Amino acid sequence: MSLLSIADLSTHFRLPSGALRALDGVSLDLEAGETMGIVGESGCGKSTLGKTILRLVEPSAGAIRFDGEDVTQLPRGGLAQFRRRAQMVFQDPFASLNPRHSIRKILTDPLIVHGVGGSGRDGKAERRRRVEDIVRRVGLDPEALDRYPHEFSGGQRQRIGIARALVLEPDLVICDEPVSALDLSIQAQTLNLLGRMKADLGLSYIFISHDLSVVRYFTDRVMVMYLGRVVESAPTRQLWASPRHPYTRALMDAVPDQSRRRHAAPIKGDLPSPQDVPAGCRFHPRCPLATDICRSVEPALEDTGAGHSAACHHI
Amino acid sequence: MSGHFSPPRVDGAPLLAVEDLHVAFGNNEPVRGVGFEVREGETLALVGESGSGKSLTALSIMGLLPSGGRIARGSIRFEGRETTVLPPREVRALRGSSIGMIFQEPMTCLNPVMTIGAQVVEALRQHQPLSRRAARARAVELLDLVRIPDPHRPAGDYPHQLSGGMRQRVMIAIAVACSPRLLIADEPTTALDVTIQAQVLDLIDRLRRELSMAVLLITHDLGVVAQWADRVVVMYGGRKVEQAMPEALFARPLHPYTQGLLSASPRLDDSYHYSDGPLYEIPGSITSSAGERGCAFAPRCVHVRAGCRDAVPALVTLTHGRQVACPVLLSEAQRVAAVDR
Repeated sequence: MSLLSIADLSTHFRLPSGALRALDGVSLDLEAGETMGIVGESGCGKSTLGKTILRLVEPSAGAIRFDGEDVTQLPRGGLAQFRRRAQMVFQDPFASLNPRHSIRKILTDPLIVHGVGGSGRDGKAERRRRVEDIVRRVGLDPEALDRYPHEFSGGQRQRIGIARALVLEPDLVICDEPVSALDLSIQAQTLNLLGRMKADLGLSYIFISHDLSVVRYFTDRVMVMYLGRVVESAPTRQLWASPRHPYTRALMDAVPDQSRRRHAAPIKGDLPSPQDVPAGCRFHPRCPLATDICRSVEPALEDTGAGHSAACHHI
Repeated sequence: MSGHFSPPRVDGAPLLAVEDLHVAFGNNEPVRGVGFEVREGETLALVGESGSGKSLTALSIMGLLPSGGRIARGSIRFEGRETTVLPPREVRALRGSSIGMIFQEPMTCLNPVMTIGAQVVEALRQHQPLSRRAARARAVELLDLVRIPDPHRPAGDYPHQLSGGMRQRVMIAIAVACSPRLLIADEPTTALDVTIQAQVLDLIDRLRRELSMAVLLITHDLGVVAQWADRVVVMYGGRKVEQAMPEALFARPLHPYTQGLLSASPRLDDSYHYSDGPLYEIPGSITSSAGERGCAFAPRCVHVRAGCRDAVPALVTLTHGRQVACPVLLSEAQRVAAVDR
């Protein structure tokens, strides 16, 4: 059984200007100990997917099974139980830490909310022990606990964000662009920390990122999304060895890389608004391979073997 | 690459020459002696992380330092004229006519209550004696030049009705409205999606050739540097630590900071995976350099020696205009330079 199994998940928002189909029939399976990368550009639904999995946003349809239990059907109490085991690391370490709370409070609050250690002196000691342990694990001095977020650099703040997610000893961590706001020299430190924590604590990650080089290094499997749909999914090495979907290839070509001088002409066209999704294949207005069928029939995600699947009429 | 499209100036002087630039905020000096040249028609990249001083350097050239900041020392010569002593009115005239500029977030640079057509017209009439009608016609030409589809129509749009990529195209149209000699692009694609980033960088490069302008590209993205720059200046802690052609820089970085940065970044063409081991880490953070008298990188450097913390290392020029500010690695650098020759 997969740790996380998502079937046909959709999240639609009703806006005054019409429906926004942020997520439209997405399925995935995440095995315990695995890191699944979710890649795509603005409006592809990758962040909505992360939030929907944790039910920070309510899904419109579909099932999210965590350890066999459907999270979408959980009552309040069950949801708290689930969130203790599934946590999130956010992109912006400046915005996601309360500036008026000490690091100790930021790290202790989740434990209190989830009743870790219970009440009484023993509980307090237990929470203290856990908080000091996690702070050391993420590479900060325990004396940092009595300081406030503004006293830390971006990289240190992201360590605090990671500590907050891990203090509950979760099984699943959803990392939403965890290194995108960090300087390059700090990115490597943070990725190594996430890698170490995964090995030490037996975590599984959903790793949401727009940065293909980071995803290639850090994930076991990758799902490429475009306008709310999965267009391709494959083991990471496999995806790079033979990307199938024209969008995946365009994305890989567009990334400026140290090893390349100026490249072929970039794909044309703007990203359509998720409120105005093209008919047929959503990528067809920008696709170099598009034919009539692409304009009318939406391609299904088809397995092409070895865990590799793609949604394109021309494969 | 560069130089093919506009002949070098007869006197051989660079278009822009920055020398020993110091920018101060009170007693704080975030830019501590930066110098470089931008030649006609080339793309020079200033690359660095936050706190490196790259953006303040660009803002100094444009005369747009934030309040409290001042050029404490040094010289900025544009087309042979010293701009640091010009009255604000003349700097303003230079900006927008001979020097165009674009920034990271086009939304904050565009007026939200004015149509984009009107904003391009305003930019044109600010610097050129054009009738309203002629300016409007030219504005549509410019929007067409930056490949805004059906330029008549979006000219009547407001900025919020456009995508981020389209807004950046409008900013570029405004920046090149008066055919500047130099375009300063400060993180022009950082806020954009990667397929849109490729389009915008492609556009900037096409305009560089078609309008024979030079581009000063400020970026933190090494991939962008590798693909689009003719020469690269690497900055750290308010100083230039290395200068090279991108091919040489990526093949053989000479400064320990550049070396560390390249080793620390995962690469798209490299199959190195987390299951193979951790990424190389540069220890510490840029804040470690605060108050350092010598080399700003010394607190994080794996090659650090006693002398590094006492005196600022001199920038030594090797062959092919390559420069590096690290005495520890210099002997190796010279050996490499000899091989290059």
